[in-house]
Amino acid sequence: MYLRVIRKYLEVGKVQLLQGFQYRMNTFFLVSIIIVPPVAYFFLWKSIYSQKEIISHYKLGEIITYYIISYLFLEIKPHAWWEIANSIKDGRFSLYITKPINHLIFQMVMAYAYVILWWIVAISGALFLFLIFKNYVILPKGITPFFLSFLFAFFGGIMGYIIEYIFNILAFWIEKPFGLLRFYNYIIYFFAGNLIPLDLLPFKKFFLSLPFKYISYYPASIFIGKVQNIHIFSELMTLFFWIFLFFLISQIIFYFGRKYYSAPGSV
Amino acid sequence: MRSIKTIFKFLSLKFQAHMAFRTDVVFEILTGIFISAFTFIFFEVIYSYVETIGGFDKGKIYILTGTVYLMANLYRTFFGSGIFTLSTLVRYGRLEKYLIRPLDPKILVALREPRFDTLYRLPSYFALFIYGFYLTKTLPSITNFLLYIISLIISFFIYLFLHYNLTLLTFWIIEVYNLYYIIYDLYEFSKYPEKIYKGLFRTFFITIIPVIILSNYPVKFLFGEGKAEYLIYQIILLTVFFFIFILMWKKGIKRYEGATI
Repeated sequence: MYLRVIRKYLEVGKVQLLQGFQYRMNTFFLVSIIIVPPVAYFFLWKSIYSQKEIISHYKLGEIITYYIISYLFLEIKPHAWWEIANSIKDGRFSLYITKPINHLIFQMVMAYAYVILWWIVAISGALFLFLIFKNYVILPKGITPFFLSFLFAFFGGIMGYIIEYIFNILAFWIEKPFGLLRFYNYIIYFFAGNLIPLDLLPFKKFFLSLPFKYISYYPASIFIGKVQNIHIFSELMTLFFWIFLFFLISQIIFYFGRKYYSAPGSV
Repeated sequence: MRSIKTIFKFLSLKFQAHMAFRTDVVFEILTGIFISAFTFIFFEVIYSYVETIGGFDKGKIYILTGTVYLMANLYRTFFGSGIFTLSTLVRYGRLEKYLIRPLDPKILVALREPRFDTLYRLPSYFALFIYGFYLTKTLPSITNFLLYIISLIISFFIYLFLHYNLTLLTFWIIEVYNLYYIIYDLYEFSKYPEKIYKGLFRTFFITIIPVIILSNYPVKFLFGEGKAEYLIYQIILLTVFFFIFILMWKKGIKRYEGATI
């Protein structure tokens, strides 16, 4: 029974994976997202560190590595983009109502399958940066922090996707939720710690209490060895709690949204 | 003259259509405020540790960032979407719709999808710019301000042709829209003072893809540090990018195959 359900989603994933490979060159171009901002930050922070050896508790190598890794984690997270909201607006959403699927899981499997090629390209981009900044970057001490940082980034990505999904399905009520989605994308960039490490900010306790830190700040901090092992298990449990909470919220909104939904056109 | 009138009429109609979506307006205003606030926090944190970055004090850096945001945002408002979606027109074979109209298709394609929602971000970016002046406690002379505007306009068009030229590759590579993001990403380099960049990167981003100069040169003029060579260099770059654009457009159109009736 469960196997049949899983197979259903896997089939969808397989099709999306093939679609992702269709425009390989286009995916390759996207590598600039991984490479360019950390390079700009490298020059900026190098100029800052030429005046001061340590900023808060960060050394130059740590901050450079932080930017490379946090950008990687932010960008490999699949996006819900506008597609779901668009399908609600133009009536294509009707196709999903009749299918025996969970709409969120269906969309998430598609999104994850689509970005597999992108993961390969993005990780290559990060490795390229490690190579050109080899005199600055620091590597995790052992396999455990390396593994844990990717584990947190993976689940943080799932959480980020569910939040984006929630904003998308607000299209049941809002005539054009794209401004809201764009707004969310800018917010996440800051609250996930991609502009600046969250513990350098004023009111850092506030920023660190929000779930967005799991998208890039927290995994990147594990990678550069800024997180103590004793906190990791409780943080993982907190992350699971947030995922569960957002999943629940998404299902409630979807339930009421579907009742409100009215499709344009006819069958 | 008639073409300009038509373009203005077209833009005004698009603006009226855009006004129907009020929720978006609220979020665009908020986006502008938050982007400016985040930039402000970012530099406040940095300047709590150091006095200058690449010779720029806090006031100058806000003027530089404000300039970058204003320019990029104006580009996005009027040309961004139109140029960005050229690859879709080519892929689906719908470009001829614009080729046969009694207006220059190069202008029509670029202007066909203005995104007025981003206009609402401008006041926040402008506030950042003004705050920079408040911190520096100096106002530029009229001459310097005029030179700043001239340099900024040239930068704007260099930026436009950089985007357009990259997107024109769509005539040779079918799916190309991600390439377009490269310029947006490279714009990150414009946000910081020119002096921080060293070596090959510096040479590359001043000559081949001159994103560093786009904001730095105008700001130099604003503070009386500009030289005639800067303007000459900007004009040379603009001319080169323009000719590349014309050449690519001509060659691209020859390759293009339509798919609509």
